[in-house]
Amino acid sequence: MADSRTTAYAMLRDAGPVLRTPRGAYMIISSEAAEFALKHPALFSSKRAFDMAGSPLAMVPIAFDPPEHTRYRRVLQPFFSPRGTASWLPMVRALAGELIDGFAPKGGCDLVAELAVPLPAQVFLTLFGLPLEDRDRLIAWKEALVNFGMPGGEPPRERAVRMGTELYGYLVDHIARRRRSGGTGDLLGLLLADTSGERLTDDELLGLSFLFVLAGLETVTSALSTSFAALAADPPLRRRIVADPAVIPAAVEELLRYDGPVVFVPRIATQDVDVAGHMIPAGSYVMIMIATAGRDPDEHPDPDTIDFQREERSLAFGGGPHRCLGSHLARMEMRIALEEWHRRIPEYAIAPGVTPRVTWPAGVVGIDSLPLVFEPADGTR
Amino acid sequence: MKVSVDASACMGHGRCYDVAPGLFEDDDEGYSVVKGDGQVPPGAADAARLAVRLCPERAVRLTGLPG
Repeated sequence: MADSRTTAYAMLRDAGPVLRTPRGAYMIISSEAAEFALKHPALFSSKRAFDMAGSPLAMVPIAFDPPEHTRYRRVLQPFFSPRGTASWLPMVRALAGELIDGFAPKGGCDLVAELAVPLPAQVFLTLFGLPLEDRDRLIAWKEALVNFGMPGGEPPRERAVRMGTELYGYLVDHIARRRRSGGTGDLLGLLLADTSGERLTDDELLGLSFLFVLAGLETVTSALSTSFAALAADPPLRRRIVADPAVIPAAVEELLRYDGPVVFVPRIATQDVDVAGHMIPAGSYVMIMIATAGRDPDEHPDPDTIDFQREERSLAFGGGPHRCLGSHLARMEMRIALEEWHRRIPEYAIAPGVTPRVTWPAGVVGIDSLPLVFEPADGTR
Repeated sequence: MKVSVDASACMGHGRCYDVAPGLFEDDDEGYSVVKGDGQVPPGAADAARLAVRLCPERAVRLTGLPG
């Protein structure tokens, strides 16, 4: 898994559409079965499925089922829709441009530390009206929380809870402060200014903020890391992007299908349920395997090849009522990072002697460090 | 040939109005709305088929014969 997702996903694919793990969880592996599970939230509940994430409060909206979930989505969707996120585009472009201009003259960078990590963190800080000086603190909390349960010194569960509590306190203070100071120049301000009957309470906004930090930052970071690793290793692929930047949206979809950050989304079976001939007992922990669904040859012919010309439906952002709320923002961040990078740095390679590896097991799959080398660019493009 | 969107199935992925902006548009919440009466003009049949193929919810339908 650490070296090759292709090998790992092929092994799972060969195990059949549903697999019972030694610890009694169920993996839903085929695209068809994953789609079924995603679209039947009454059978596969999200409530309690996220209990392990170290959040001291229920994360809005992923840890809820319809109809509560439906209300959250109705309130949030306008802010995260293509129309809602379009106004943030110049901000995202400016942040990406500044970060790339910062290292372009050096002729090399760690793509992860210098672009993939800071870009989504700075986008979050900007959208929530938080000072950019808090960036490294925020990144430290996020990393402790998403990587808890990984090999390390202190017991992971305790550390996750402690870091979760610190992040919680930080967000509580900030939301209370913003409740007093007002202002609608950012996403948090708009959410606080909502006066509709269904508006979110401060506690619900906290749950959303928490989710944004945990789900919105690491996923984009990881997706950028694996995307740039694939492009750096495959000159013809990245030259297509340089020759025709209009292909970038299709490239983003394909890179997410091929090596997206979300390996699975968790659910709890609410009753005994038959999936593709396999009985999953009530109460089981179910992993809907987004990653292997993306490599299912029934839906994606020649699934282990990257091809920007594919015209296939993808479950990279899930499906059903829990379809990733941040998908339009995430796509925008990826598209702009690829545009701004390739406009300045068309030719690049993975630093000699380096083999990109992902951390596994992990909450999401991403490369920890990706040293890239290129001709120094003067930054004035 | 006409396109339609099953509003109860649409979850706002935005694939159809991304690839076929002549046939679909987004509402404020990001859900898809068919433009006009959904009639597919000559030359837009491929875009219509692509929108059907890409929809993760299988909410986009194409009915009637080409032409």
